[in-house]
Amino acid sequence: MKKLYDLTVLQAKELLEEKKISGIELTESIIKRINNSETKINAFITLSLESALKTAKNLDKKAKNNESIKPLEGISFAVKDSFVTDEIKTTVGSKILENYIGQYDTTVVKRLKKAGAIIIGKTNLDEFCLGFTTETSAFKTTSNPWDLSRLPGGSSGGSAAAVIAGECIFSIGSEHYDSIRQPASWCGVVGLKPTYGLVSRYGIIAMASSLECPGPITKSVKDAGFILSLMAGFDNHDANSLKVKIPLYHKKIKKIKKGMKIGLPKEYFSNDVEKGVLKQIRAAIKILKTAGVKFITINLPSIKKTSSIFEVLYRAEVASNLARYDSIRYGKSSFESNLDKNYLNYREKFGPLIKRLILTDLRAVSGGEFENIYLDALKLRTLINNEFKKIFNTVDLIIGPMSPCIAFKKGFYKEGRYLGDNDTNKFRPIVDMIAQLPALCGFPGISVPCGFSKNMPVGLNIYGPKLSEQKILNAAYTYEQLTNWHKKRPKL
Amino acid sequence: MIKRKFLISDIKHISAIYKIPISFPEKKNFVTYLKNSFSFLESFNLLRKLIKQNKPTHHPSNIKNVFRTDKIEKSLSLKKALSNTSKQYKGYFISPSVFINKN
Repeated sequence: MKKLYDLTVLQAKELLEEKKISGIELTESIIKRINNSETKINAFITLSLESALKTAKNLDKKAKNNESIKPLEGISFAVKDSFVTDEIKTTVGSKILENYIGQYDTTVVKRLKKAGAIIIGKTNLDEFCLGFTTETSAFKTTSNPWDLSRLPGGSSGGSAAAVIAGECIFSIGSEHYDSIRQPASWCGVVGLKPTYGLVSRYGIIAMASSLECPGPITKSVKDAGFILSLMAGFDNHDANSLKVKIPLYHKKIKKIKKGMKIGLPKEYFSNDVEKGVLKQIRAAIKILKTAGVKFITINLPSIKKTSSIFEVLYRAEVASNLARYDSIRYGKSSFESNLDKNYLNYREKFGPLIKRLILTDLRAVSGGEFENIYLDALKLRTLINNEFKKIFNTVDLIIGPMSPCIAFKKGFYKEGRYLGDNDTNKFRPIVDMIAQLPALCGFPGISVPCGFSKNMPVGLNIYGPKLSEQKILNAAYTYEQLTNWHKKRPKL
Repeated sequence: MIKRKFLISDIKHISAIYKIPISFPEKKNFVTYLKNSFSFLESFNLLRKLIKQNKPTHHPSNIKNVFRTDKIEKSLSLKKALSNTSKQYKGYFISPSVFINKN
């Protein structure tokens, strides 16, 4: 067994439980892989290889003494660098928190560590999760392992690239609307966004609080269900945490029943979606038809241009969250003679896109009338939710491309702005409909690999109403079992 | 909606109140950015016409009145809570002075 780093979580778990491999062997295989490929991929901001190896050694000692094995004992995972981790640097991709050492573990990390998982490192992301390429990170740009001249997507780009490159067994990302699933789609892995509130946000460096959802990035659908069952559940540190029973999703996964109704929104199949992407999505639909899925053409809610609603909510929430960076309590900086100078010296470290967000976007929502605007945005959110309710009375789930295009070439972001042109700007309204529209309602969704276009991965997006995770996983699993796309790995 | 004009002086003012310094050449670009940022409110106003009697959805989870029992939980140690500050004194964060001594 040479390529232990390529194992899925459940494969590794089985081999560890049967004592066919040890935690050290598995961890060493991943470390070796990181040493060989990380210079090309740049998936990590901080690596914790020594402590990972130390933890693996301790766990192996326990295994030798036949002590009980925890569900993720000996399995290495990577964490997006926006999750606070105890005694490990947490930069959120920004110079503002360049020196910040986490003082506690995010609930998600705490739960995974308690389950025996080992943190191998903290992954690269767009600064404060603002972006979709990792190019806004203050430290590095991550490469797409399928083509090093291309981007991995974002903001959880490092997490997705690390999984497909074999630099971890699974990883954790988070999304406001597509930051788990879009990079999963561009990198050819599985990305699962749970229902808002199903997984605690406690410990994630806050941006847009009413939209943030943490979720797993894995090599298989079953793995995504398994990790979700360990991450999810009520947490009294997060006021929006749902009090619902969390099943063992991976054990309940089954092929879908004949006659399941899946909606095909006309809007997702427009001419503005790349031809190669559409070809793969249509092929995936054909495969699901053979499994007994009944496809119904639908229209999305009448409000399709959600960007202005999203921007109102996003900007207002980000404004309150970014105000805390004052250099006094964290983010050690030089100590100036007065508070004003301190603020100016420290806040200059924000990257160009964040500066632009604060100085122009936040200014636009800070006028006297803004309270009414914000309230109206929340009312429009209700309107969209009501229309989706009607749609989900006729179909169980909705399907379409995760991204209207394949991974962009590097250099799409320069000096504080994205270099969009007519060829790329046309994708924006489609992304809004794919990701923003359902995100405003807190719906769960999954991106599963469904082929290649121009040798780059394409992702199939399946989403449904709140708490429909099991149904989504079943549909994704049914598709995955009928194809081999999830087994493909890039040559590095 | 009243059409607004944006000037470099607006950027200077915003930069001062948000405590984010920007250079002069950057300020010029920021005038355009600010204009673009305000323009989204125009498209938002078109959508507002669709609102009838909807109640607002503050959070997709729609949870209200979240309480917990009034029980003290274990929190960060003082040492850990202060571990990321550049200056501290007897368990307190030290902040630079708020007022400038002009003498």
